[in-house]
Amino acid sequence: MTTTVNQMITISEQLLAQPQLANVGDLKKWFAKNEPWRYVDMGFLDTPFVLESKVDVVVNPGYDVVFRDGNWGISSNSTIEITTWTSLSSDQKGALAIALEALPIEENPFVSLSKTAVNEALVLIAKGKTDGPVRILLDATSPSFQQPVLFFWAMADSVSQVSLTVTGSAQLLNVTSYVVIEARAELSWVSGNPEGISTVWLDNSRILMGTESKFHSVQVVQDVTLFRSDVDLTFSGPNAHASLNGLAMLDGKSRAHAILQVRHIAKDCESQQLFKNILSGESVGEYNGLVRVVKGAQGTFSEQRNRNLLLSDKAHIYARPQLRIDANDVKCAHGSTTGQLSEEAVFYLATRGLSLNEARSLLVYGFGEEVLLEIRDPRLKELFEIQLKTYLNRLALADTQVSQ
Amino acid sequence: MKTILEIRDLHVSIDGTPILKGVNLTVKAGEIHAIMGPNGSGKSTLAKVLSGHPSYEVTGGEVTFCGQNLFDFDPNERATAGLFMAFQYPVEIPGVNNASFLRMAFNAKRKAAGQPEADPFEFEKILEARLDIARAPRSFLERSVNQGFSGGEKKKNEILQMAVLDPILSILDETDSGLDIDAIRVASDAINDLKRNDNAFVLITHYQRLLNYITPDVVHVLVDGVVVRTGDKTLALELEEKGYDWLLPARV
Repeated sequence: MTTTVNQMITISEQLLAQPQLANVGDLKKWFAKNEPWRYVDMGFLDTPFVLESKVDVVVNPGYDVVFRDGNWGISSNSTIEITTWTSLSSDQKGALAIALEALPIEENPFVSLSKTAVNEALVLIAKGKTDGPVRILLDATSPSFQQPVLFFWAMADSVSQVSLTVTGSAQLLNVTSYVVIEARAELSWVSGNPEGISTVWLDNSRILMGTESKFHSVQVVQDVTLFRSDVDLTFSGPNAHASLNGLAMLDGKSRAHAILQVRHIAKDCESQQLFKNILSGESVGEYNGLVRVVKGAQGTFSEQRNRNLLLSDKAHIYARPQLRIDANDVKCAHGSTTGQLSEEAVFYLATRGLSLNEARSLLVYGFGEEVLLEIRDPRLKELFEIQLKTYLNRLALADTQVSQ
Repeated sequence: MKTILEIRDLHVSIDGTPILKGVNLTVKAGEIHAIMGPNGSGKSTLAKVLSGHPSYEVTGGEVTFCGQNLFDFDPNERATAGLFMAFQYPVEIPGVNNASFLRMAFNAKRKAAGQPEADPFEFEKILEARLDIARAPRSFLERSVNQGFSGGEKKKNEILQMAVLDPILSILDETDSGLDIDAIRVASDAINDLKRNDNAFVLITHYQRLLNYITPDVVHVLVDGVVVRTGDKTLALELEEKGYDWLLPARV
């Protein structure tokens, strides 16, 4: 599909132009029938937006990479190799393409749509041990459709970290990250939005883990029009370990959906998930986590924990942890709890001198902090703790629902 | 000696069911009181009502704490005024660091008294001394409040909180339940170290064994919501020997 600069188009037009959806007809009905999309408000499909001309990007201080208004800017001081897809050598492209062959068939039409932007994709290559996180900023200066694609290639035995921040005024942000973690490599990934954004943010991650590799991620979102995280992680090699964590702090009419699929196709791998939602106002949260263990993936250990805290009677949560197990020597557990603040816990804190509001704030803070404790970089952890405190200050906790 | 707690004809109900049916009890400064009684007699109810638990309704009687009507104050105000309850089942507070929480509680009391709050450095020194008194390990400080604590560790954390807050009146609700002999001895040593002429303790317990290590000045026996017998420590020994049957109302 070709577009001209400053043309007004809708995302539904873009989606229907793909072969995958060309004959769908009513897109909204199609999404409503598909389980990973059923509870997502797809009203944004027909919102017109402008494709603007790309301008050179000035990299903000403190960042290694910035994506702004359709273009990447790369700092010269980065601790890892950062380039673009088009700048890769043929050998590198070939090697990366071979690694990506292990990806499952793509079912998310927004990821398929993002393939139109692969030629402008960023490629980050980690070798050896990097000192400090690679800091990526995704920004937009005007309401627009932004579609950054990035490849993160953690070479064998490398140790690296990524911090990805979303800000700005994009109307629709469709981010796709392809992450290849080779044998014995370790990667930590922290992402979130430090300020409220009036954005529909679709965050898609396709992760491949090699033998004895480790992946640790924490995603923190707050005050966003609509957020949908789509994580598909495959254990390609044995003895790998993945820890996936998320916290959504929602109020007003914010909506956050965490859709995960973890595929154990190799032996002796471990996956752990901790996803928490704090919901106030009329916000909506979703946790839909599927763990698949194929026949032969013996020795699999998998744990899913989803915890949801409802602070108003108009907030809503959809929780669906799922297991599909075809191997017979595995340990898999899942659990989801949804509730309000415990009266007994509020009373306990009050008997230590805290006022009702202080007690409730502390309980909500502790609920969120359990995820933030997973962030290994102390500066990032502190940044998100400030966000959590800001969120608490916004809430009218004196009127918070307390369970009996 | 100054009267710290005076309970007069206290009646308490929960969901319309009477639990306390006219409790009378006076605790003076420097005293240790033990409240014993069979299951369901209202011992924990008494502790919770004094702390201000919202589930319980006071339907009659009055309680003064240091000369003031206790029921005029919210639970947090009672705490900052110097009333502490060690819970029978301490609540877990995930994600809240134990040391930070102790500082918050300490500063809540200071603030209520119009005193400046302690910064982390000043509080660190105060905490070191209190850890010793409570015989609590430093590792407690790095953990979330009661999360992942064993039953005995939770009780020890209650003692640590008591040591930090240095209350005028401490009510220990079955602190000895679930503890082995050594743990009971350690908890008792801490309580004996904290005892002074200007504070008081109320120990709620089923068993006499705690009282081997903490000598009570007064023993009360609560049966079916009323104090049926008051005596000295020999009463506890008598209960150990005879049980509670001889004190129960005769069945018609």
